[in-house]
Amino acid sequence: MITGGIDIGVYATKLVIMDDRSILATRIMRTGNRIKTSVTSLIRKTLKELSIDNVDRFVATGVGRKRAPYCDTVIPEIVADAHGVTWMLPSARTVIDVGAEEVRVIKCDEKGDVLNYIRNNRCAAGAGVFLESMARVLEVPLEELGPLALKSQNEVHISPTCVVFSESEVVSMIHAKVAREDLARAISESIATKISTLVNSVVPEKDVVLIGGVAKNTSVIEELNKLLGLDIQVPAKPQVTGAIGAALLARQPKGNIINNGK
Amino acid sequence: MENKHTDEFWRWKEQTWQSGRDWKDAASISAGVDVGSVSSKALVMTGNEIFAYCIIRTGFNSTESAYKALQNALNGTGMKIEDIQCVVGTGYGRVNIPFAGRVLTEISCHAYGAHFLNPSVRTILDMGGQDSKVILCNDKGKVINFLMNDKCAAGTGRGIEVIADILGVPIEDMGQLSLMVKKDPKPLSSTCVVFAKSEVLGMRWRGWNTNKILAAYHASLADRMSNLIRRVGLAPEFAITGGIAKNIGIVQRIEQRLNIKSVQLSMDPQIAGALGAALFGRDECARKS
Repeated sequence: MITGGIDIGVYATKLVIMDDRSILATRIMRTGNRIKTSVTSLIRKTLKELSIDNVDRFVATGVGRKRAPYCDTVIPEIVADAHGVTWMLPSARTVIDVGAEEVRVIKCDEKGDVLNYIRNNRCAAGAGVFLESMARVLEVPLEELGPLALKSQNEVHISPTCVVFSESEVVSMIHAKVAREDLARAISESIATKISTLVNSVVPEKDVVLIGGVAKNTSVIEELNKLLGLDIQVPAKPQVTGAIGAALLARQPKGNIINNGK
Repeated sequence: MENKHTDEFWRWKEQTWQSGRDWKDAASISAGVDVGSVSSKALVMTGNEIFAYCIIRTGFNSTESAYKALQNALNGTGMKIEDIQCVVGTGYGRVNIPFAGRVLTEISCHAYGAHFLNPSVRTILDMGGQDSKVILCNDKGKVINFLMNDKCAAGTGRGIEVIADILGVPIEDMGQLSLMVKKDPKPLSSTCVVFAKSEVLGMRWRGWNTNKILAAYHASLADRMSNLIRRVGLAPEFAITGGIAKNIGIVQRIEQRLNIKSVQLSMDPQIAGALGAALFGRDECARKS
C-alpha cells in the first residue's frame, strides 16, 4: 500500500510518500498563496520522479490542511506528530513541536495516541518567527543562525519576552559592539526559555523528542537541554514528522482514524 | 538622519514648547527628565509653573538623549542646565541620567503629573513606548495601586509603530483614520504584534480598505487596555497619559468600552511623567530652602 502525508504549515509545506515498510520520498517547500495548485504540482512531480502511478490514500495535517488536494481526511497536528514520532522512535513519550507560529508539547503512549497536550499560539516569542526576526536583525540567513551561535565564546543575555522588544534590544547590543555569535546564542537561549516553560507545565517524560523547523537549529537544542536537564532526541529531518504521521494514518481503513486519547 | 528613499511612517514629530516667561526671579527651578525606551522627555518648572519642555526620540545612548532633551527645552531661553536647582530622573533609562539628583519610578511621576494637570484625576492609564500601566492615585496624587504590562508589545507604542510602517500610514494619522468607518469590524484576533502583522496583511490582501483595517486593529488595542483597567478598578476622574494618549482612535474606543470620558489634560499627555518628576524636584527645592 502506498500512502501520502501532507503537512501544510504557516511557513513550510511537507510531503511524504510511504509504502508498507518505509519512506519513499520527502519534500519540503515554502507555503505560498496558491496552496491547492502548488501542492498538486509537488505531488505530481514527486510521483513522476518515483515512477509511481497511484497513491492509495492521502491524509493532510497542518494549519492549511483543508486546502490540501487529493485528501479525504484531515487530522490535527498533534495526532500526526505523535504518530510520526513514535514510528521513528518507539520510546518517545513527549513531543515538542516548534513551528513557525505555534509551539505544541504532546504527551503520548507507545502506540502514538495522544494522552495530553498544551500549545501556545498567542505569543510569537517562543516560535519560529522569533528566530526569523532575529536573523534579519543580525543580517544572517536563518539557517546560519545555529552554526553562528555555536561559535559563541561569551555569555550575554536578552530578556525572553517579546519579539518586538528583543529586536530593539539586539539592535542596541549590536551598536554596543557585542559579537554577533554571542547574540545568536542569546537568541537561542531566549527561545529555549519560552519553550521550556511550556514543556515543564506538562511534566515531560523520556524520551523527549524535538521536531518542527526550529529543531534544525542545533544551538536551540543545546540551550533546551541545558534548561530542561534532558537529553532531547532530534530526528534527522525534524520538519517532516507530521507528514510522516499523516502518511501512516492514511494506511487505516477510511473512516477509521480515531485517536483514543483526545 | 532622514532616509529620503523610504518613507518612515513610524517616525512621529519631535517637539519643544517654551512659555517665553522670565525665569530670573523664580522661587525655584526644577526639572524632570523621563527617559523612556522610545521617547525622552524633559520638562522645566519655575516655581509652580511649567517653563518649557521637549520630547525627542530616545537614541541608542540614554545619557545623551537625556542631555539633548533638556538642552533642547532650554535653547534660546538663556537658562542653562547649571541654573536648575533640582533635577529628578525617571523612566526606563533613569539610572543613566548622571545630572539627576534623584530618581523615581515613572509610576509615581505619572500619577503626580496627571494629578497636577487635573486634581480630580484618580485613575490614570499610561500608554508608553514599551509598556502600559494603570495607576490609581489619591487626592494628593500619590499612588495607591497599579498594574503594569511590560512583557508584550501589544498595545504599546512600539507595536503601533510596526503596524504604521506595514500599512504605510503616518503614525500621527492612524487614530483619526481608524474612526472613519461606519461601524467597527471585529477586532483582530491576535494581540501579539507579530501575529497582528500577518492578520493585517491578510486583510489588505483580501481588499479591505486601510481605514477598516485600522479600525479592527484599534478595536483590539482598546479591548486589551480596557481589560487591564477593569482588573485594577476604575475611579473617576480618568486620565490617559503617554504618547499613545494622542491616538484618538484608541482613546475614544476605550471611553466607549468603559462608559466614561477621559479628562482633557491642559498639556501634552506625553510629558506627564517628566512633569511629575519636575514636581518632585520642586518639592525637594522647597525642603532645602
